[in-house]
Amino acid sequence: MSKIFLFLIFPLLGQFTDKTIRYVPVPVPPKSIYVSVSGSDRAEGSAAKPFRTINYAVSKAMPGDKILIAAGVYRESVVFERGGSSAGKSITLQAVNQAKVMIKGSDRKTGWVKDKNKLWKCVLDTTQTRMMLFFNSKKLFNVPTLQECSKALRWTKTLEDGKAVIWANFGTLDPNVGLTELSVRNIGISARPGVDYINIEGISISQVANGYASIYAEQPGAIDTKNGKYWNIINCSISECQAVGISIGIPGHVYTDVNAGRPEFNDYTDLASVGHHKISRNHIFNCGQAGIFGLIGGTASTIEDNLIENINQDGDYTGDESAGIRLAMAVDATLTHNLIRRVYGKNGYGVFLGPIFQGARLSRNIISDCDAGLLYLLKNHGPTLFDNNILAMADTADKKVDGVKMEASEANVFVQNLFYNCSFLNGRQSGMPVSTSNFLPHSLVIKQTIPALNIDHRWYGNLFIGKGAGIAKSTGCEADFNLYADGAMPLSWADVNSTKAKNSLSFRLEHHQKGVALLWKKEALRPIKIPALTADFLGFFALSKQYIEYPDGKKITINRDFLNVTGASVRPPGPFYRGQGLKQRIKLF
Amino acid sequence: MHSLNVCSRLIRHCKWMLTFIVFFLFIADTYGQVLKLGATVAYHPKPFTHPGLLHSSSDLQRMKDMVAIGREPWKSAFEKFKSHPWSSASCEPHAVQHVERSLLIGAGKNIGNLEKDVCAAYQNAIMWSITGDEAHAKTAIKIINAWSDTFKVFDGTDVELGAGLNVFKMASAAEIMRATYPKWKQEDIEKCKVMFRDVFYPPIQYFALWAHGNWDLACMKGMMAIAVFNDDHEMFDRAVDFYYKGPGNGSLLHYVVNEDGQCQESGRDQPHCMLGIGHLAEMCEIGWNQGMDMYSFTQNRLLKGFEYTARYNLGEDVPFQPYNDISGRFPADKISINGRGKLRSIFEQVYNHYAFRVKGIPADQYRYTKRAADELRPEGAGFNADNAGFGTLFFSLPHP
Repeated sequence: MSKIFLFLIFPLLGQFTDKTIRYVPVPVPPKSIYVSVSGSDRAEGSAAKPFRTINYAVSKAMPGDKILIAAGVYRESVVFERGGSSAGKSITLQAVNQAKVMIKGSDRKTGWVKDKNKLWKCVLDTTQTRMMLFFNSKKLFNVPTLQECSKALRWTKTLEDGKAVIWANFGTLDPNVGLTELSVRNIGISARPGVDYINIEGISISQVANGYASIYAEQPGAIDTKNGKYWNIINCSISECQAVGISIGIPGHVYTDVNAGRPEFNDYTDLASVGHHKISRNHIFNCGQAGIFGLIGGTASTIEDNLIENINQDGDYTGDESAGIRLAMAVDATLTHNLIRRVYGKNGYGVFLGPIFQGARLSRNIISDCDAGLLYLLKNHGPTLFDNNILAMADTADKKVDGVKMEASEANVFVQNLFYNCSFLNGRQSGMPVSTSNFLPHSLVIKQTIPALNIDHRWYGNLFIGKGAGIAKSTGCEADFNLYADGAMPLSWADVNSTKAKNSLSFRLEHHQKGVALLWKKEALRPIKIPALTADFLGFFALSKQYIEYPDGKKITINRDFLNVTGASVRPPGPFYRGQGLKQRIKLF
Repeated sequence: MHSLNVCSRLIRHCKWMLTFIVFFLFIADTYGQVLKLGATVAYHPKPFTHPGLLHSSSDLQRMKDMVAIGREPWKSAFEKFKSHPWSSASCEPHAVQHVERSLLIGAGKNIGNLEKDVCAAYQNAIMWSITGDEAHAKTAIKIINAWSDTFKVFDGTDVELGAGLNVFKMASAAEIMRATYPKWKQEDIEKCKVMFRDVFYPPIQYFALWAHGNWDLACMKGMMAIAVFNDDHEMFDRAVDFYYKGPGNGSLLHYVVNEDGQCQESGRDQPHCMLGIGHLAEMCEIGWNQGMDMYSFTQNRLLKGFEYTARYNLGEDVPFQPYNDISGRFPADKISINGRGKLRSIFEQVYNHYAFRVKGIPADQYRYTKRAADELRPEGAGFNADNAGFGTLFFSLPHP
């Protein structure tokens, strides 16, 4: 009997073992996973029986899967444990049918007790230090002392018996009746380090209490790619976050004992293994430090059609890395048609790049009303192309503030831009300069590490209104075929073929809630003959061994304007080829 | 009227200084590190003379004859040359696929192999030419062929230097061997040409506008060497054009920056300065062997650089004007004493050219160059692959 049993069981065991050894996972077809605020994490995640939390759905998602989220407010942190496996096998997180999906870093807070002097008191079971308080979706202003809470919509925090106590002034309203929210999470959507190929589409994120970011330290964001690559973040809204809206950075560190043999940022060597994000059509607003921020993640990434506004509007952030977009080690980054406006603070810039942004291109962006300047370009060997941008300092801006600040930043090529009240600073690093690396074109292979200077810039075919560049001659710099209007002065050492407008352009930007238009007297535009703005004309940047090029190495010719119109050689300098054929009011964004 | 006269007298008096200032402002304004390469002048439309790098056929014959008859200084110079390890026929190639010359810590792959081998190939080619001992010819060919068969990638932060210096010596060896050793197979010669064109040339093709002048110069002389060996006139013209009017620190007038002979790297250190003028002289010698006189450009400006550098390194004072280079990276307000007095083997070539080859140059115009050559004679090896070295053997000319 036992012999018969063995005779029968052995072939079966053999077959099982064989299958086990040769096991190859059978491809699972991509599936849709559903989430709803009325669902349950014990359900099956189908359309009929959706999950309750996005984070649970994410934990079940495999490459190629799509997580579809129904309308509602989700008070949770979403952290991807795994990502997609390729561009065609991303994991997608998406609002179903463009539903209004909101992930909040806050929890609703009730249990407020009325105290004296219009103050309400609430004891927390946490000693968390970074938090924000919202009442009926409006952020309350955090003040350091109880005395300063005498005005409405202010709050402060004390410690009693090791517990945090919130004191807040809600005016005449009862916080237990209205919607009172206390930010308690520092992550909106993030991932384990190194998770690639994630799509996030149509999600709103708000009230995340993330810490401040630094290129030389941690870089938390409400959406945080955490050292992953190939993330697409599209049509999202990120607002009311304490520091950075979208972080595409990875934690940096301070470099000690740097020299040419051991330069800063030498830890990143492979362009294919970083960045490559697409950040498009997002609205980032009311964030405390930056709209988009990151070390290395900007490399080979595209940031386009985003509206970034009201950054650091409370002035809480006092460091020096605040901007609409702040990137370092952003080789071949492309920033196109973003509207960046109202970045506050003495160090609040529209776009702050550096150290290192070789091969980057900023095209058709509208940047206005930033306290510290519109562009800050720090430590780079170039070349970098700025074409068809509209950079406008506020009429109320400090006249001493330069619109474009270049510090140890070489080979910045400005072509067909409109500069309004926007002078330039072209400086070198003070003190002992730190050497800055440049790379073989379109790579992170260090080619040279030498101090970056203030040389080799180009200004061709630009329109300056109100102020000219106003800089002294510097080695290798060229400027010509520009138009100067409303008091802007050509450069005395260049601008041989440039002209001045006879009449005022009466330029102004007309901002509205989701966009901006340009108004001017187009009659003042004067066409001149401008040479073809080809890569050859602009020159071969010998240190970086590249022309003005696309990330694939093809040479760029600037032959289209802001409105994508192709132009004749006789045209007005600036980002609009049609000149007097234009409308008086041009929608820009 | 009076003030006009004063003014014109002043202008006349300061003519040269004004010329210099205008020239300096012009170049400082125009250049930087952006290269706009147009079509260059056809400096050398005729077929190249072979061998035609540092040594023509008659140069090689002279060395051979003088050594054979035991005449000084060739006799002592040859003894020194022969005893150098890289002149040995027992040298073996160390060819690899990838060489990296880099400043980065932990990098610098195989550059030592290449430097050793190009020097050995060159010195064995000369040994073959002087002694007729085929063992040296075989060693030179073995080394060149090994690299032609193997070498594919040259990179690193300092690749311009590595490629320029090393191809100069390897092409010098190849140029002699092709002209003197018929057993070197045509197919191997073709492979060598391909290696020069595809591995060595790409890193040097755009010069090194951001660097001290010796970088441009390494590119230029390497380019000339490849061009002659590969019979590439366009490449040759590109290098010669840069010598005359290139935008980098390496063109003659950007390297020997004034009539005093002050060099772009005088304020850096003396060894680099000697390296740089040595490169310039080597370019001029190639030009000379191809029927061009690059030595005499701008009233023998190169000689002034040699005189200035020799004089300072022989212990005398020289004038120094604060100078900022073309790239703007290397301002210098005083001459550097670093490496002062450590003469490099570069002086014999220029001394012999001016003392015995061209006529009518007063001796006081090359007296410090002569003194430096006298002091070193017989000159030894160039520093690694930097310069040819052994100038007493290579360039001594019989006194009339």
